[in-house]
Amino acid sequence: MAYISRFTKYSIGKKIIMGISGLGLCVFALVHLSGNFLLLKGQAEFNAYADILHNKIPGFVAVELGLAACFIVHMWMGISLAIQNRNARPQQYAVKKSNTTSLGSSTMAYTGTYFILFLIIHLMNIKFAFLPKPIVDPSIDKYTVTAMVLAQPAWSFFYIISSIILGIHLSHGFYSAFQSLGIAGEKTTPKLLIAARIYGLVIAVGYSYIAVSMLMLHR
Amino acid sequence: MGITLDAKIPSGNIADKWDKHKFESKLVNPANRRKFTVLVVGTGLAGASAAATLAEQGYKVKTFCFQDSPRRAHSIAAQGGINAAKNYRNDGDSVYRLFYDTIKGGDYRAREANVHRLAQVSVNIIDQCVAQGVPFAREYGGYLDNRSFGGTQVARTFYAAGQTGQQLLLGAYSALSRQIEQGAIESHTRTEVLDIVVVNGRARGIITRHLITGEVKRHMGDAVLLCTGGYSTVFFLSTNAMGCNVTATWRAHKKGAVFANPCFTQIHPTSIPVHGENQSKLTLMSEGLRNDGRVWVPKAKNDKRRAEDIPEAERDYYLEERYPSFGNLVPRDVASRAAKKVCDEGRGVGSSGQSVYMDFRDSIKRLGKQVITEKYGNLFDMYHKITGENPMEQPMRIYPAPHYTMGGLWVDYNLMSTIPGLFVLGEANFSDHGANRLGASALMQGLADGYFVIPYTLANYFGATTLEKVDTQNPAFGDAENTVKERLNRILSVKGNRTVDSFHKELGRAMWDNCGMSRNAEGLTKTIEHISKLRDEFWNTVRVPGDANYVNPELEKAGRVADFLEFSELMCRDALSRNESCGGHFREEYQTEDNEARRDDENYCYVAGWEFNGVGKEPTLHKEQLVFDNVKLTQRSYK
Amino acid sequence: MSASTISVTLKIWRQKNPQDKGHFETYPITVSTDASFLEMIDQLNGDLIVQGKDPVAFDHDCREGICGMCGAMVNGYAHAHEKATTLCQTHMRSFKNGEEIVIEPWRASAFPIIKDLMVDRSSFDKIIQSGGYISVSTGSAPDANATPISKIAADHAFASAACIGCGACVAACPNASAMLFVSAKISHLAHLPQGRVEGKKRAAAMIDRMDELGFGNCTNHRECEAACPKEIKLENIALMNREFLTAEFA
Repeated sequence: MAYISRFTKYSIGKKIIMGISGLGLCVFALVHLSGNFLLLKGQAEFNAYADILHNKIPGFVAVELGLAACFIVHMWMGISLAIQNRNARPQQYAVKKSNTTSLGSSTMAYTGTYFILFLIIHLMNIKFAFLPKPIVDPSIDKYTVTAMVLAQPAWSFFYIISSIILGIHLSHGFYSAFQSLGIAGEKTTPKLLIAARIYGLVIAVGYSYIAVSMLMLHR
Repeated sequence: MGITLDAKIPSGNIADKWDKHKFESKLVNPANRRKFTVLVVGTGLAGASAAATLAEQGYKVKTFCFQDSPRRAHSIAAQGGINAAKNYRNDGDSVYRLFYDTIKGGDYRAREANVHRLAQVSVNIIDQCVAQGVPFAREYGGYLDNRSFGGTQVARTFYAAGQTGQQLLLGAYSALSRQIEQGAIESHTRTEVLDIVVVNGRARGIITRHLITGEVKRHMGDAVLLCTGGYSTVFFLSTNAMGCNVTATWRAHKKGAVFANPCFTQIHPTSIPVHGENQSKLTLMSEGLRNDGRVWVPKAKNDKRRAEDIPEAERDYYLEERYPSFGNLVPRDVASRAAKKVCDEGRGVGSSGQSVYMDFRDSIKRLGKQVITEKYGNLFDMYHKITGENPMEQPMRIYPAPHYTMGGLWVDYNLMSTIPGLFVLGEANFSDHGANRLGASALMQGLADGYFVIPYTLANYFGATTLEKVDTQNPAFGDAENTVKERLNRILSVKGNRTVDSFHKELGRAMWDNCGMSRNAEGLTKTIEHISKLRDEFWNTVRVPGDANYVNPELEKAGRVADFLEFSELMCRDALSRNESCGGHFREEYQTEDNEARRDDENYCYVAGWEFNGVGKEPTLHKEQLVFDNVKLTQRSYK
Repeated sequence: MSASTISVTLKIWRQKNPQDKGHFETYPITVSTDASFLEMIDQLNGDLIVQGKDPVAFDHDCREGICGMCGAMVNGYAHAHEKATTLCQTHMRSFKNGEEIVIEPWRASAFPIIKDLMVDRSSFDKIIQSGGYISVSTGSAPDANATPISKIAADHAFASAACIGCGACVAACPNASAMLFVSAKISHLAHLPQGRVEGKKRAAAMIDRMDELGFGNCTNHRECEAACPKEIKLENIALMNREFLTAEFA
């Protein structure tokens, strides 16, 4: 613990933790997306997948906890860095132009904060089946829960928007994580920048595609 | 006070003098070193290297610079390189050859023993800098690269692209920073030294003004090292930084330090020409361009045609004509004077008529644009940025500009001035370059003085001297502080209508016209009168806004210009009294039939040391005869 | 040279001292297009002095783009809009007749304003003091050619060592981070064998000092790299992160 607190004392230590947890979440985002494509295959396939995840893999709870830890650490470091950044320039410029700042890089704090809110709602929707209305039936399956949410245009729209916002966050975060971990260079950086944009696009389009498809299917 | 300029040159063979002197010098026990406080003024190559080295040895050091960081001293702007007699090229270089070239390049007006020592320690400088991490240019094998420079026939110049001065200074600054962190150096930035305090005939302190708070403060020391650079900004327009000044050395001079050879100034031939009245600064284009650029002007006077419209037959490649064997590569002083001559004839180009062409057309034809870009791309870009003209399409226009001052406070072999305890290092002293400095030798001298000379000679001074205990309550400090404060108040109280810059520009113009590239008795006499009048006018009509209690750049400038208005007179008097032409000092009355410099070794083979007798009063000349035991005096010829 | 003039309106940040709140003041000026940006301010100051007004305080020294003393935000760009150019090397011909030019000091808590456009950048010196050097005392160096260093490494070291410490990276960074500055020094020394010896200690010490001084963090906007007059590369920051990681784990 003392070691960690010494490590996180350094701004770069925080950045590195941010990068590692971020990359963990990036992997999760991809795995989650590919799993979700089973929604389009059918109810049985998707439920079987959910069953394997939750009941057949020993220690899956540990994975879930790890994931939660990633989120919390990522958030915590992010907030701590954001505060430091804000304090570093208390008075803003009257005129400030940017040469390289991208949509992703300039909105990280906002898209990140938005994503926390999204995550809470999303967990309420699917994991705890509490929204749009609480479902108490213990036998209800994950597919049905998901379909119930995405069948409503407003919810579907919310998911599409959220996917895009997440995509924007990742279009910078993916590159940024590598840079923080020191995996960048004159040759790699341009490639990483492109890869990050492609990755962000895949996430945004992938999740949106599922949301749109489910809406079409169950409306 | 009867001054004799005793250089204290050690006896013996030239090659053994320094070793012998080091052995015979007194030492200070490591445990006793912290009892000595050394005040180092200026943090360029000489100052930073001296401060770091002395602090490493255990002395208590305080550094002072007017910039916001020690790293910004003007050594940083040196482009070309640093000489050292390493002979890594196996091309016949040696300590003796570097010594010989420097004496000859200085037109036989430098002290042999000092120059030989400089050549000896040059090799240690490169070692030290590499160990510090200075990224010198290297070859693919991993070993250091060299280039050749003007005035020599060997390749002994080490370089880091076109930023050698920057890299060397950052090396010295890093050593300085390490000592600051260890608490061995107290660094005072944005602090200007306004007077030297002399107690019982010894330099024992300085008076400073903090450029932010305005606080005037006393600092006690057991020795004072002036590493304050040169005075080229006396010309207003020069390649030096805006803040470069003569204040510390001039005020030391007024306290009794003899000023030597003030008229020896170097005018660099290839600077970007002046564009207008509001110009503040001249930018150098590296001398290396003369390898591929051909210098010319139209044959006809007042030819206003564009360069490309002037046919070959109507162009005068005057350097190639006059100096067929060296051509465009004649030494700096010769090239500068030749440019002035053709412009004075009315054949200069550009809207002001004060520039000559340096044309790359033929080289581009011969080598192709790509090769030229590889060699000079940076310089072409810089030229393009400043002038808006592209040297690939039209010839560059260049003109000489004040660049370096060989003159400075007189020092003996130990780098000590005529005030005991006041040492002078680097460009601020006069010692090593005679009447003309060779390219890549300034960096060498600054670092030699700081890293390898002063640690020995200062110890010898401390070891051989019994210093009385002095504190800042001593009346000498009070007197000096009062003088400084009175002067500041006097400047502020004039409240006239002329800006400081307007005085500086008028002075600079007069000095450039009459005490610049070529001088004559009539012009110098006239200028001495002019300066005297201008000085009176300054003290009656200068306008400095604000007060002395916070940031006031106009007040700083005014103090410096006021000093230049006194110092410039000494420059003119020195130029007037030296009835010969040598190196950068060209007296029109003393030239050969084909307009070359005519030296007079019989009557002027001496260092002219001037003693201050009061502002506007004739100074006293003291001569240090130069003795050449090793080098034979010959006429320089580049035909 | 095309000796023409342009008329522009300057909107300059005026602030008497650190306590003063500060405000913009507007000055119309007609200036030669051959003048440098700082010569334009010189001209304005000359006019202000004659009018009995307080001239604009600004830092400057060499005026050839190497000392790193000058710098201001001009129309929202550090060192004005020209790429790889310090303010002193920016010329008025790159502005348009009739243009409004907004001039502000660098803004960062680690660079407190002293007066007008002057800021205190001594925090940069403090970072270097914490470890931006090779600990070698004068006299203890071996022969300069004793250790061959590959040309590629030497060139990399040089490219990073070209930093002039002007602070434009901090000024341009949305977070006022000094990481480009710090990483340039770490990278310069890390590329050289003699610099490797105390590499780990150096990275940790310099980063620690940088944090203490109140600089912000790198969020990889790459604004520093775009604003740098010496084109110091962002990859230096990645290298610094690697140095930090190996210092902690290796």
